[in-house]
Amino acid sequence: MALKLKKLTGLVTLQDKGRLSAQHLGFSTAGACDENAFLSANQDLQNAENIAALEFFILGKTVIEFTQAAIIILTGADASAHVNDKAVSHWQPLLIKAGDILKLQRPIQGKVTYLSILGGYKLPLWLGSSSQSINEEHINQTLPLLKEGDLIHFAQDAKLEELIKQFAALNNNKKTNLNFPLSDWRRFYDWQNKSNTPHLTIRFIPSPLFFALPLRQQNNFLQQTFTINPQSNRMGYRLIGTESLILNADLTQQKSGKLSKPVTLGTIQIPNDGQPIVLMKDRQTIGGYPVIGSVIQLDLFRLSQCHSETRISFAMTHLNFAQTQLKNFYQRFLPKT
Amino acid sequence: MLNQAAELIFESGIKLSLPNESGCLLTWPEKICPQQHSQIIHLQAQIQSDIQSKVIKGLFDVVVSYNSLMIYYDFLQLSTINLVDYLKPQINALSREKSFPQDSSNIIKIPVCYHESLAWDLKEVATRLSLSCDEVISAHQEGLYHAYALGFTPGFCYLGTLPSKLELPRRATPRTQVPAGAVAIAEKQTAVYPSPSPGGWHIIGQTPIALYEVSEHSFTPKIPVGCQVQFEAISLTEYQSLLSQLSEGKSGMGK
Repeated sequence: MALKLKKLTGLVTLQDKGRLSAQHLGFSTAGACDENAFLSANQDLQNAENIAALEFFILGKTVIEFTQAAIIILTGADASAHVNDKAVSHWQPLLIKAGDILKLQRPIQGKVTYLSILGGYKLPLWLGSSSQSINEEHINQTLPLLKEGDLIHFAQDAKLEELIKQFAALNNNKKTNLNFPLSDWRRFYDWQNKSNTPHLTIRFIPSPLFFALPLRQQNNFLQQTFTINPQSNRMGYRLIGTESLILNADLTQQKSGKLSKPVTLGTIQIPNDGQPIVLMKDRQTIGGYPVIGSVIQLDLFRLSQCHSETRISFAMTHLNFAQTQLKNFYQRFLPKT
Repeated sequence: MLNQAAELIFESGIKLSLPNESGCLLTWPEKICPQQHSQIIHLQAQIQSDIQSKVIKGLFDVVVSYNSLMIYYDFLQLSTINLVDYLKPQINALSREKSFPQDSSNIIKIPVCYHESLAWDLKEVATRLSLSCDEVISAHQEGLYHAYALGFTPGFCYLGTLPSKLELPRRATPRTQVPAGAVAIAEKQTAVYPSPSPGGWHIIGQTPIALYEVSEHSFTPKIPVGCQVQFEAISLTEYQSLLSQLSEGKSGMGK
């Protein structure tokens, strides 16, 4: 009971919500970078919330063969999915038969796609999570990093007849299908954008250092548009602005300190070249660069889907707003009675 | 008030800030100091014990560094206000303690071979510091180092403080691969790389011992935060013999 990764392009890993309680040992949290897509997948399959999915980050031509029948779903960026050369929809459950071949391609809109299975994959749990962390493979307690020819086994063994019934039930139960069809990609990922050029404004909670910067520097930062360095990855997104943010050393020392400290998801670091780095799920636990704030988590899910041509700008917000947004977001995924 | 980037400043000089939805950062005065750090470790231990005994719910993790402590929490389970109310008395109590016992019985000894075949950067380091290789080696061994932070990669522990005559900035170009067991220095710190990884510090020796133990459900670093570390020179023969003993031991165990 498995799927076979016949052809892979780009980075493919298994991800759940991540390893949240081992940071004190130096473990990166890992975890799905687009939680909107990840959680939607599990919700639509009526899976438990934290069932690991296959995450395709920087997706290219991909071919997957199913050795057994399964109910699957593809969420995130539209990868032009075809099953046996017939186009299928994203963001809704699909019934797959034994021997079916799924083909994916590089998305035009968005960058990260998730493939979830009803019941999940059969995976080792390591320090509370099945997420694969690229930098920690040698510790050898999660599955080895995926390559062509690998089989990923399903946790559940189900006959086609049972699956047909389950599939019918999923489709009938419209209540669970809260998530929008693909044409509404704009509603979550592109929600502020009124133009045809990809653009995302990301809200951040400024740090004490940011508030201490001369107003001219603050305004400069807020008025700039950035692009994303194509070398950006799951550890961090490097942004390229037209003007570097050169920080006064004394001010930085006073307000941010020079000693390395633990860094949250979304931390905006300013290294020596003055170009911001936004830390993502595979970030190291401790960082030494000056910190000017932290991007709100909801906007990180959006940011993870941005191509390098997307124009990024920053807007200030505060903790209350960030928590309210995130709370409302997570509420969509609570089990409904 | 706490919604802004306001910092709560305690009498002791400890600052509390809220960097994002799920983090609460405590920052002590900016210095690398074992006495101050023992306060940080003490608080980390108290919070971890409260998590274990379920005195407090909704906390994911507590991470320490040189002069800071970050609490990661689930604000849906534990509101920010309640978290801060939980922390305030503990922070205030810290400044009332005279000192925190340092476990001087717990000195971790790391055998290091400084032989030129393993000490890739030793000659260059010695030249740049205008010392002989032997002087670098004895200065490195002299120190009783304090373990300040686990980070960079699992089990990598930042140790301080190097004697000032050994201070050098990091390598201009980091190596793409540094072996597990490499003993290195940079700026005021020393550390042992627990696994193969990229590395920008100067390698002055190698240890044959494992820097962590792994089982199906646990990961135990050899050097936990808060302890003290000493390096002891061993010969190349001893290094090779220890290395083969330890790998025989490993292959005898199941996964």
